Amino acid sequence: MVFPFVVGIWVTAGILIGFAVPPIHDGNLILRTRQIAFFHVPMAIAMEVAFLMAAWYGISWLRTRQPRYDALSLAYAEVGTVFCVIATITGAIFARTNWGAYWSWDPQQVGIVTTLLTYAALFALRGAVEDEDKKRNLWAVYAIIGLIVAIFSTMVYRRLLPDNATLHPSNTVITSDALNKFALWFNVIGYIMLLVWMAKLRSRFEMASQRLREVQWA
Amino acid sequence: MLCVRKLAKRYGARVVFRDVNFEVEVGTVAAVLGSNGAGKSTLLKIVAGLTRPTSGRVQWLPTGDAQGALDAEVLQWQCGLAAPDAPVYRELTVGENLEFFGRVRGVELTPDAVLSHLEKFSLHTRRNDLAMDLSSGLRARLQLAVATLHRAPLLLLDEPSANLDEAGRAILQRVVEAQREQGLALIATNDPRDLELCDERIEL
Amino acid sequence: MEIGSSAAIQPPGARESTLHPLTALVPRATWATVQAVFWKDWRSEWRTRAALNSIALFSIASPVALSFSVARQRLEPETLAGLLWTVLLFAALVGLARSFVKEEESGTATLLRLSCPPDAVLWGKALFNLVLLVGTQAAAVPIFVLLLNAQLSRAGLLLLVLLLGDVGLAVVSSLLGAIASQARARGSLFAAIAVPLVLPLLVAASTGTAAAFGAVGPQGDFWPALQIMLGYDVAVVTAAWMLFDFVWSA
Repeated sequence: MVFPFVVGIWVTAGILIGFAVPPIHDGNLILRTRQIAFFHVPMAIAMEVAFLMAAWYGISWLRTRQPRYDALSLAYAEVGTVFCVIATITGAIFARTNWGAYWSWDPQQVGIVTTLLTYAALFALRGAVEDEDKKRNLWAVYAIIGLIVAIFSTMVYRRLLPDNATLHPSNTVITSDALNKFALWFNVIGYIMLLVWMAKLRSRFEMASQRLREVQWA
Repeated sequence: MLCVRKLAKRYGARVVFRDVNFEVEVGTVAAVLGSNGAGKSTLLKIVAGLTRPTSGRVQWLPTGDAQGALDAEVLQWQCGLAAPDAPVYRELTVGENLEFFGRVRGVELTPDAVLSHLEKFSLHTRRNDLAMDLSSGLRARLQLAVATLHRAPLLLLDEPSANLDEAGRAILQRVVEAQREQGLALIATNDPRDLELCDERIEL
Repeated sequence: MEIGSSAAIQPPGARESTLHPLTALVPRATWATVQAVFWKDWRSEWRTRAALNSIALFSIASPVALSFSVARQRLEPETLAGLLWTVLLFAALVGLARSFVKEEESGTATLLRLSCPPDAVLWGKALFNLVLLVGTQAAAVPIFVLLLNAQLSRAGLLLLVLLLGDVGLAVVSSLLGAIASQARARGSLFAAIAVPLVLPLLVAASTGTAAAFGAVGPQGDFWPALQIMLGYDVAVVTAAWMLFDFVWSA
């Protein structure tokens, strides 16, 4: 029961650190609203982790047929969706303040939209199947193939979209000074812990409601 | 011997049946009885491996010296099924249906083999007609023909005599008699005339 | 599902002669069974033409509709390529789920599950979808090129891109068609679950097609696009192979 407190303190500290670090340079430009970067980048990384975990627990369900793995897969996908939406919005705000446009169809943005669509399709699918086991099977299969395609998309968009289309810096924060680097990775760890904690709660809730249904049955 | 233990099925909150147990020996024809909605069709689907039970198991236990029990997923390929909700392909002819179901099981049926099999069901004159042009009684015969095509050790018949005339019932009777020689049969029915074909009763 | 032939049930007491040769056989996905599924689908499609009509109509009618609105403009190769693949993608979405949806709607899926090895179902239907795509595109792509005045500077490249794209589309739509056909609202769900997964293929195919239509500069470099399409095809073929059993069987 210590874990939630650790997560809470860690994430709060992470936000505060974001205000304490020195300004970040992008070429000659000094990035404004740089605090968003310490929120947006970790969020996006945690979102990818969530996608990976959803597919991983999907495989676990198919192999073992333990309902708790399906509940975990569902939980990671749900929390991942929330993270995905937040990452999209904060990214758009950051792009607007610094480069003048909310949206520019650069590789990262195309990738995140594909991910959002995949999540949306997953939930649509889950809602449309009646049989419990069938529902879990189809969910797991789609989560796995969705991940494979998502990995492909990143590759596709990196290589095929013209270089000048992207405004998104891929290394500004990481290559700046040590304090910024520390702040970034501190937050990445924080938000992944947040993800794990939220997904655990959500899957426990899912298992409890399943058990409730079974009690009604018996 | 077909062995069903503690079988239960529910869809969401709706319980179809619970704690079903029975055994059927080879050479026996068993009637599955129960009111509408008791789960007769569901039971046959579970035995055929087409529906997963919520709990419990279906097994084939060897008698005598033979080794090893077979589980549902292996059993599936040893089943022949004729059921109202398992129709054949309407856009294929009678002969094409037989050829297809033979071919997917890995057997190329010669035209003569198709014809001689259809003769047993008095369908040989309709061989080149589309299945959708058959009357419901003749389509029921075609389903029987497909179900018995590979001499399955386990024949599952769901309401087999529902649309059959006297000649069709005679064919059904011959099918069931022949099945005693090569395995066993489960017949889900509410028709008292079907019970005459059966040796045992399983009440749901 | 691999099942040894020793698993066949020998009814005790039954003499060898009374056993039909089939009892000893357990169906396995062979080229013959894949072909059986393909020809079965082809025959019933040819007799009803449900999917063929909708795909062909869509992929021929939309270039006509497009040519009305953009007839007097000189379109860039990139724009043309994007338009072509949008047309082809939506034509595919209209018809490719059909073969699985029909099995579930008419109830024939039950007997197919009982008697046919799962892999034969997948590859038979993927082959059928591929033939359907190639057949309709043989008519639709020339019409598109003619009506929209596309400069076909690399015809061989266009054929290669179309083929690679069709293989990916056929396999993905078979796997997803099997998924969607088992849910409610089958048709619309298929489009919703297919679009996110074919987007990368669509982007790569458009880039390759732009080069075939004479795009120059960085857009004229088609090797990355071809490599990505090939990689995508290999990835979805492998994924479908491994995952289809979980989708199809109970």
